[in-house]
Amino acid sequence: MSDKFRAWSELSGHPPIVSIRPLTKEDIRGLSKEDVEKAIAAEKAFEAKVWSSNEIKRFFFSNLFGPRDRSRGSHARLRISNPELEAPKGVLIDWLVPPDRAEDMLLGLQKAFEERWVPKYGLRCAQRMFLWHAVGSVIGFWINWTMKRTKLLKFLSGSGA
Amino acid sequence: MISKLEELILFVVLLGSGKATASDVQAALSEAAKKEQSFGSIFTTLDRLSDKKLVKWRKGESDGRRGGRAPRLYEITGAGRKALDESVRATRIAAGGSLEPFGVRS
Repeated sequence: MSDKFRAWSELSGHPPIVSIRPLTKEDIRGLSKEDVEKAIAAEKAFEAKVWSSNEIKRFFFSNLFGPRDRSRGSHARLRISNPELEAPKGVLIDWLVPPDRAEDMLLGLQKAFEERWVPKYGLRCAQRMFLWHAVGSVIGFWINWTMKRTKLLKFLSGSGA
Repeated sequence: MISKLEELILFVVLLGSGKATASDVQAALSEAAKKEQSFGSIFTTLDRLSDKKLVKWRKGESDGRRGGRAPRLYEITGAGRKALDESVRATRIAAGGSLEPFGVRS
């Protein structure tokens, strides 16, 4: 988490803030009135801040490729990121792994994403990690499947003993 | 003889008291190693242990989130406990240490 987000988080008193995105209705759903008020106050404080060139770049990048609340215009809004809403859908695993195994794989990855990776590494890094681990899981599954089918595993363990 | 990763996973599953999920195992190993462990290797090893009947799993309850999916809850079997004991014993004997502090059955 960058200094900017840490400062924002301290200001708003709301820890899971990880990116600049438009504030949408989904973001504030489930939050208490106090939290919403804090978020709005922090937004105003943030908008009053003079941005550095890197911050401006990041703002345009995130708004160019990130979701945007068009009903509120294209101006920047801080987003209270809800990891559950941001969790990748895991389409890769859904498509490439049998359903009975995919269910547990996706659940494990999404749980790690929401509960550990996002708070620890930030949203973008967590999304990359999710993709990386999803690819690894799919490859690992099919290697294991192939080895089982060809009895290679049995052969290797037999020759290793 | 089981591999070191299998031994570690069996340890975590044993400590989970029948409620260890793949995510719990990955979290515990990552914390122990101070580095994110690959989910691919965890899933693969759990499948392999399951095939060897060293662990068994059952469907847990869905928490209503994440599409209503239910996690697999892993539990160590008698054979798994025996394999773990043997592995830890072998490690300790190779290191020339005592088994008692680890509570390993002799």
